[in-house]
Amino acid sequence: MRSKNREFGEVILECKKLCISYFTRAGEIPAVIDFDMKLHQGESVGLVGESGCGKSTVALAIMQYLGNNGGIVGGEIVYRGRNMSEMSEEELRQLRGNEIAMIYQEPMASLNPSMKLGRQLMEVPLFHEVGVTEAEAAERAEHVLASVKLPDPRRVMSSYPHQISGGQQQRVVIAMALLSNPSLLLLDEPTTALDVTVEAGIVDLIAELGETFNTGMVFISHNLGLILETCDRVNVMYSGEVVEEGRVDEVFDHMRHPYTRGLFGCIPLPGADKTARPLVPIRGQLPLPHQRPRGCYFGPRCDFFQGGRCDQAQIPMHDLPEQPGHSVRCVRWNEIDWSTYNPEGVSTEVIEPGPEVLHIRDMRKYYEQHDNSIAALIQGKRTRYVKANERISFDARESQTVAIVGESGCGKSTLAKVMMGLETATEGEIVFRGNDVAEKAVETRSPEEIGSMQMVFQNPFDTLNPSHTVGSQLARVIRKFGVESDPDKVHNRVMELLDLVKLPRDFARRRPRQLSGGQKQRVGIARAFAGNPSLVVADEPVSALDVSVAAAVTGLLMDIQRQYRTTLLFISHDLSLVRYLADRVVVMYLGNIVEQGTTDEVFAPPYHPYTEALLSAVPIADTSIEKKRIILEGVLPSVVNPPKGCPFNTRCPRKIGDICETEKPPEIEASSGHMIACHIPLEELEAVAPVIVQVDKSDETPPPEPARENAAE
Amino acid sequence: MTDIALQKTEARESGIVRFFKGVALLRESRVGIAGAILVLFWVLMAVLADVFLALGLLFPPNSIFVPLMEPLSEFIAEPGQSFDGLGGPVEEVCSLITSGANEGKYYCGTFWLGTDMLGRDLWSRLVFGAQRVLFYAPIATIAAYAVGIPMGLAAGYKRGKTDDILSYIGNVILAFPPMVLFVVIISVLGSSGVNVILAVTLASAPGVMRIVRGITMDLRNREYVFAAETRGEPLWRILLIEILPNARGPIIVDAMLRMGYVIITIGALGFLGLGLPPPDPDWGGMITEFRAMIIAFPYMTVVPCIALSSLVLGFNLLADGLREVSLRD
Repeated sequence: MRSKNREFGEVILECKKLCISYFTRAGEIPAVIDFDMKLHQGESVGLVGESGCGKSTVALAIMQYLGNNGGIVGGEIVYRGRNMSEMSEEELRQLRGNEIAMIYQEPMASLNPSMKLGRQLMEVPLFHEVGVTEAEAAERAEHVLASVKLPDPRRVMSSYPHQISGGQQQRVVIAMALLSNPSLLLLDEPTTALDVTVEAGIVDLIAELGETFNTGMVFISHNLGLILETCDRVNVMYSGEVVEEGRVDEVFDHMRHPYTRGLFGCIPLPGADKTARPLVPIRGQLPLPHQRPRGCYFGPRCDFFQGGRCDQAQIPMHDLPEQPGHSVRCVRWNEIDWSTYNPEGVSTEVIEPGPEVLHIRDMRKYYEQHDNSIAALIQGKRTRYVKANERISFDARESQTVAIVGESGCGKSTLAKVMMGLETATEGEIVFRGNDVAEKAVETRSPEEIGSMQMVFQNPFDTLNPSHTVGSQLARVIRKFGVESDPDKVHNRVMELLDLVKLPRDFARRRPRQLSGGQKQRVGIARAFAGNPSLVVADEPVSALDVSVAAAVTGLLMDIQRQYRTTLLFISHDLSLVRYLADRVVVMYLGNIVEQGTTDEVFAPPYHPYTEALLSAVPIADTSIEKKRIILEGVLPSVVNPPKGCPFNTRCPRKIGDICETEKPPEIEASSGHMIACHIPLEELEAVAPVIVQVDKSDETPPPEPARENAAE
Repeated sequence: MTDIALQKTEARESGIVRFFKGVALLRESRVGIAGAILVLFWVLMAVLADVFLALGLLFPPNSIFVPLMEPLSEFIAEPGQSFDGLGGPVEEVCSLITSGANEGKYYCGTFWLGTDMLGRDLWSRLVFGAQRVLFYAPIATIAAYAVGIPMGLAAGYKRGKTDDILSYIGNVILAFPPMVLFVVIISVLGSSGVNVILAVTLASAPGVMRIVRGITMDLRNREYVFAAETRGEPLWRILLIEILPNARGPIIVDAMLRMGYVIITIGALGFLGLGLPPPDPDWGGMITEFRAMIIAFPYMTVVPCIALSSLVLGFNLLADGLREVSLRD
């Protein structure tokens, strides 16, 4: 995490009353309105907000890359005292290469796949600086690769982009941006495409960069936790406007805008709990740019809305007198009494799990791969096995939520496929309500069997067929599972399902493209529950949604689960969310289960070293949380050629010796039902300090604030 | 910005309305409008050809009148003459000229594009030629798609052996120069409309298969296909209901391009004498018929060439326009 009390240099970038619009078929659409920002040398400013709030547009405007249909319609961007819109194309080109650099979400898209990385890096000084020799350029490239902590820079230099992992690619992209020693770095969701443990490394690197290179950074993210770890100041954006601005700790601890408050209510912070303190989604939807309300854009969704005040003129930013630099765009900034505001949702009874529904024992899934190369022919090794799942054993009970946690490539999707019958298990058993379905492909299952185990998918934009209406897709499922066959009854059931997921009934006639991401995901949930399933596999159902929408969808999913006493198998990489909603957690790594137990057991010592690293990698948007930093080195091994012994031994920070490389780790039973697969003795694992610790902040000097604010905290 | 389209509640529209709304989007592409005008011109001509004939605006295409008339020359008949295609004696169907050099003769119409060596009206033959080509080309294209789409869907969805076999067959066919293939097929089967359709289908289906296979390979990884699989849908349903409707955009664009190509092919077959059997007018046949006289009477050859090119160009521009419109937003 960045140290919070640093001195910064002169102002390098200033946005003054910036207004940006896009011009489309539908007319002018204001994307960013009245945006002010000051960035000092060495400072890192975060832009945070949900999709469509204009954060990327700001970055593109700073780069002067708005494209044909976008333009700055008001205000100015001043870079080192010069108005950027008055610069010529040539000046801008010089600036972009030398002083301002941008890093995008997809590292692979920023690297040329047909050029060696060394050459691509060397091009930066060779093209942008006069009199640089090849040797000098190569030396500088190697140096900068080392400074982004890539192991073996020389090997990276002679590799092509596809030969290194995604995290390493992103490091190379950052290195490339740093080569020209820019004074301004724009990072647009630089870690969103990466796994959490890889992300942690990149975040650490970014946090250090400002200090070592004294670079000013604009960090764009939808993740409040990442902003806390990387930024000094933060701008919270909503529908094209900054609604709150200030130092990260001030905004996070003493937020004043109802939207900021709402955002924090939507994210599963360590204190949240699905029964006692559920998440509170922000009601309503983000207004479309051409349908923004008068006055405060957040008005229709705000609990403190006052007709006649909030819906009149445009709301200016108000500075908080007690916190210089902290300002908020709310007319009621000084009068809302947060102490009486109860942001907690409706708490519910804890539900006792019922009888066992799913029982998986020693399930293996190997894929055969035929190698037709001559070398394989000579060696006689024509068939290789991809060990996607190895010795999977766990149980799930009625109305229980079991989370399966792991990063990409850990075999969670294969597990889901085998359960759904799209693949059959190589070995072992999957007993679902008394029947072994491990080797029963979906074609051989009865409609009731299929309907009783269904899935909710990850990508809202892909989960519904764009060619058919919502109603016809739901009706198909109902008929297919034999729930109803009479057209009127099918229609009624479709309506019931839409009611169940809290969508208006006329959505049945709509097509998926007329729905927002959250609405599509609701239809996806309705589809999964059409056959009255007793088990639902949810594969990252909210990871592609904005936080406020995700909170609503998560809440809905849990409501329905409670109502129907459904068993939920929740596949996720988001440990905060898992801690919030799961009863049991299964941690997977490279096709193996490394740890499983109840949520409390898994989130407290003893940990498997991988669980420990995962926990420490998750960014948490709470200033009172202190975490251990564990950065995993190395690359995820391939499942075609997994390491011998413990699958985690190549990256394990706590490897104890040769035994890890040669022998499969034993399954230690830490307590009844809590299993850890590790060679390290239990006593030693138990001795580890917890990764996430809530620090009591009372010993710190609290910032000056009005008396009633204290009561709210 | 995608959210804008999203809020337009067009929930209650039927498929037909949406189709025409889609077509109406074409007006945003100039290229597309140009293509549509060219294609519509020939389609109207072909559809209304028989009406025009009945109204006396066209001559019967195979009737022999006056040979070697230049374009725009008037059809002047002597009293007492009679022509097969006029529907009666000159005195009854034509109008008497009452003044000028041709006084006493009869005016029977204008050869807008002149007549050929045999004395047939070129414009009439062109219009009836359009009728034929616009009958056979769509049928041949649809036939090629009817064969290519199932092959492509199966190959792209099943992969593995199915894909290997189907792609192998397709590649073998594609490896032949298409013209050689046509010549062989038509020489063996004989020249008739059905055989032209057969030949075109055989030669085009592998191309169609490749396109559909590519799209299917992408679409099969979508989650809605996965969802259909997990509820145990039969194969045909996954292919035809889940995948195919989502491939329609690229398929329609490709169909327009392919239609142009089929028209050229039919023309080329006619040019080689392998096309639709004479004496009915066929553009390819018209081009080749009086090719030897191109220096003396260029219009006989050039006019059908222009007709053929304009129709093909029309389809190509239409395809470009559709693509342009479909890529917007």
